[in-house]
Amino acid sequence: MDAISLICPQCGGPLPRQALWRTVTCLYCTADVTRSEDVVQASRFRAAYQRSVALAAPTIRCGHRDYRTLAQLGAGAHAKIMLADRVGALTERVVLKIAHDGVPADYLIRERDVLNQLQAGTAPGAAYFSQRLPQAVALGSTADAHRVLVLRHPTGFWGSLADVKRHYPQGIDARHVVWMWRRVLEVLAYAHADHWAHGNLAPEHLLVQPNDHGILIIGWARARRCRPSAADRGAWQARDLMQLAWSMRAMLSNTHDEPAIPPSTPRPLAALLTQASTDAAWCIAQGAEGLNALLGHAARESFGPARFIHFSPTPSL
Amino acid sequence: MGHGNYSHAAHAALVADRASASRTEVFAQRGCHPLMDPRGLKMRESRDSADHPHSLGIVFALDVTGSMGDIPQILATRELPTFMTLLNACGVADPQLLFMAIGDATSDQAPLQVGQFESTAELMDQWLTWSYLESGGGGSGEESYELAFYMVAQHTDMDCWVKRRKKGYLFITGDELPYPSISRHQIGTLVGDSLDEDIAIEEAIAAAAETYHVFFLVPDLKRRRNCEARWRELLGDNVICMEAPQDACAVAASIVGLTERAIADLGALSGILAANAIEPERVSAVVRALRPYADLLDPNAVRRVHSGSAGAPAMASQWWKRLFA
Repeated sequence: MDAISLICPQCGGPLPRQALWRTVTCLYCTADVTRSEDVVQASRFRAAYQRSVALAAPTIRCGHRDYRTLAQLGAGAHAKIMLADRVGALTERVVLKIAHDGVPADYLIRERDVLNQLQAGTAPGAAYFSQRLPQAVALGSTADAHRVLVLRHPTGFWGSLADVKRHYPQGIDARHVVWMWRRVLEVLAYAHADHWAHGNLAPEHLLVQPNDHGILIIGWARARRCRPSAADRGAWQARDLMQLAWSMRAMLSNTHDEPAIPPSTPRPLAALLTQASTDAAWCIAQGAEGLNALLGHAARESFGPARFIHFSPTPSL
Repeated sequence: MGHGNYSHAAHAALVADRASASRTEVFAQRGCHPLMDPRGLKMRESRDSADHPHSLGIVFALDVTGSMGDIPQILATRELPTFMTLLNACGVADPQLLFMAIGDATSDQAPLQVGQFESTAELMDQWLTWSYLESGGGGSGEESYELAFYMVAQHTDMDCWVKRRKKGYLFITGDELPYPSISRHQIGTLVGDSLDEDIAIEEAIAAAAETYHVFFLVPDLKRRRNCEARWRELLGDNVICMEAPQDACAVAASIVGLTERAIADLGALSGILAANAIEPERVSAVVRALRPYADLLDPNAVRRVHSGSAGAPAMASQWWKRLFA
């Protein structure tokens, strides 16, 4: 039998048995001892990883990820919303939804589950529309025991329509209301086809992307998935359409109470808004797709062929 | 490697010759080309030269499994000259390209193929078309993308980094998940290195990211759903979900331009793409795909977002509660 003695080639000190298959450090002279020049030390890669995650001081830890907050985007009845970057050499910009004290523990769990199911949807157009919905990245707790939902939003969104309304108390141009309404109806048609109803399409839950005329629907915690055959499915989805119509009325209106449609609104658009906001049976019959088609007609009658008009979310921008 | 001059005319002529050729005619290898076999490979070098004093190493690691053969085909028959033209338009004077081919190390015969850094059209094209499109993959939903990170971290040496501390670029194309770790047995078999332990993919990425800007390009929105979430965990906003595989070259060149600050913003990028004969709908698709990454580079992006910190919590108004409570 050929015996092998595991000794350090530099100082002759005994080496641990691991020297048979990997690089070890001699306990006596601290030399790194390898079996051959072809040996690659995994520890070099591990050290690179440690360097990559030690780049910036985190402010919030969620699960096994650290985040550095950049700005507070807003606050609602249930949570505070922060913009943040994941800490590391390869970062990701995310939105943190941090639950207030006393909010039921399952509130954010439910929102995460809804978003995951929406992302996994199979309705026609899923590949495109799933990109136009928030994605749940992670769910965890902060050091001070607040629940946190980490979300990925499509980029370029400025703020909510409620924020826009605060900057335009006299209401916005009806031509902007047309594209806002249409963008939401497009996504809503997809969600409804996948049997979802949002349940709370208030201006606070509609984020505006001014440059590309985009609208992102957020606040999916109360969304419900109706069975395809459920008798009340149409009613829930019609409720979405009515809420959306009221949100659009609010954007046009110059009052803070129940928003009236201003007399300056072109007649075809005003008629459509009135019917969509008051007639649930009609909304059930049209659906989001039908309403979108009618809106296209009304917009053409009111303003002529569609054209891009720059939108500024505040009068000063 | 990396000597010789790039000629767009020569490259365009080379590519035009085979525009209508089938995939098997363009990629004629029926096994790993001996010069792309990584076994015994010591170092792939991207070096400055008299002709290329500001070399910039760019690695394309192309998934060559069954579902992903379209991108190598598009590069070889159409888009690679466009990539070089766009790099030039972005002010990248001396790019040096290395092509790698990636498959599945658990099932394929040639799961890792590695070319050389090249500056001339003929040699870039040679390594690209020497790639063996095995069209394998194990059906497990994973491919051996992690090998690309290992190879660039361990077996490349670039003057752009050594002399100027300027990182190179690694673009991996793919539509599947990576394996969670690099197997020392696979590395021993494929490359000949005696890796002393398996390496977690996070660690391999971190090591690669010290000298390369690393990106994963998903070919279209349908396939992003297979793999986006995991890749985002690993690479964050350096995962680029394209809308069509033919955007790969324009996206990669635009990333280089934006990262090198040769392109100020997405508005300027649109102008450059349009001026280089990219169709308007493709320009829009490229800009949409790059928006998250461009926002990350833009120090003013955060300031453009409305901050609600000063206001009261957004609550539903009384009339809303009355109507919908």
